[in-house]
Amino acid sequence: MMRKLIYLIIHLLQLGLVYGIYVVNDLYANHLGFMRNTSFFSEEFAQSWLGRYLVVLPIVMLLLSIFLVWRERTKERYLLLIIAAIWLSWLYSASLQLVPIYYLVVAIIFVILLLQLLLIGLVGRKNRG
Amino acid sequence: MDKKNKRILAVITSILAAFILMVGLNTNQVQAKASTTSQRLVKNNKPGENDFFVSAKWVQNQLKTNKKTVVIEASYGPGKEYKKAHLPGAVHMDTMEIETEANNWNILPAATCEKAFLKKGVTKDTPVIIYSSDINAASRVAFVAYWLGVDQVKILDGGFNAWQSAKYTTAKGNVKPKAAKDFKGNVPGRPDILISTSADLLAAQKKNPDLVLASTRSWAEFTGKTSGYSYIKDKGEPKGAVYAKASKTSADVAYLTNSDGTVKDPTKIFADWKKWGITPDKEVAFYCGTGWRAATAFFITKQSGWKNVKMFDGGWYDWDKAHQKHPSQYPVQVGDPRDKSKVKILD
Repeated sequence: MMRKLIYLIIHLLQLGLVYGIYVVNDLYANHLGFMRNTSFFSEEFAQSWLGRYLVVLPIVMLLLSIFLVWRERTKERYLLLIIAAIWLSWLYSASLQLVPIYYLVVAIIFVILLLQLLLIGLVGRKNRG
Repeated sequence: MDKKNKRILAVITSILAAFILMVGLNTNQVQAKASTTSQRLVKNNKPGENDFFVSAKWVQNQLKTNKKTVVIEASYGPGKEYKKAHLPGAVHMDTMEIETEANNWNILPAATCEKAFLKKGVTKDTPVIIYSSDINAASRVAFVAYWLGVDQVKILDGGFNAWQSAKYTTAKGNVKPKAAKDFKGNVPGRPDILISTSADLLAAQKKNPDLVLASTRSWAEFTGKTSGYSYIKDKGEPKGAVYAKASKTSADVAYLTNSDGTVKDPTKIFADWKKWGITPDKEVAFYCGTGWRAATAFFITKQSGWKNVKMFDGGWYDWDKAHQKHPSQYPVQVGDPRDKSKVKILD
């Protein structure tokens, strides 16, 4: 029962974050202050150390997901693999020049991924316990 | 359920509750109290030739009597609010059509702006009425039209709220403008009113050393307590700037407007400006962060009969960038310039 509830809550949070992409896109398109701030901080981030080496992180996450699936094949682990693959493809297929909210989407998918990892961690702990 | 699980459940439930609260929270719009005529700059329904701010009643009459009139709703973006409701026949203008980040948020070249207005069907002799829910957005777009040389530029006093309060009809959806081909005049028709960049400001100051550089930024911005914008790191003002009380924050001109958004009778504010040497007999260049608030001050002073007012469009955003590259050429003051012990000059 408890496990099901955790599953539900975390997946709802993830869905909320997917909706969050629509929200930030709308904010960017219609709110001047948000657009100017996003534009400024995206440029700043792109030029930062983390921004330049950001492409490494999704590769690491994808490898981690593959490893986790290889260890144990569950729906949640497959979902993690799918999210990691989406994250990686977004990072390579889109860019700040094409999508002004590029880094915001990167951040949102990253949080979704972390939640999925948390879920796998919690489930794993439960199974071991 | 063991203790550990209970703790996890409590944390997750709290996060979820906070999330739902954030999404579902609706801020209650406080109904603005209508200002009386005596508190307003716009006193009657018959504006003079040099009046820019006009009443909703005048706009209603103008739309009936002059079918050539073009009404523009000015706001950032594709016009989400505009599509929900707008003045009958009004077309939307995205502020990004006249300014971009790549241009330091300065007004784009005259030829680009001319095209933007031609697309809306505006030529030199087209009567133009501009309105917005944000007076600064309306003033910004109106300033560009005026700078280009449009003969008759008016701004709806109180914006869309004033129109709705008067219970005039509104329309929904998008109005496709009937584009014009020829502006019927050289652009910019009024080049003197715009000081575009910081380099242009230096040139203007060289030409007239008595030019008053008036900051319409908030006191906190003026004295260097805040930059006013998260996308501007540095705090301060161009050296020599004086304080034109106009804003409480970087996003308003609260001292120039009534609570219903109409323009205040500026008598009191002009008395305040006088203490800083901002008077109608001088050449005055208003500026702010990126030229929105300054545009409102520009039109209020023009309507009040000030002859030699301009706008330094670059504002603090442009000056700060210039200062970073050439500090001694573009010095910065931080603090209250009236007291030498309280002001720091960065050069």
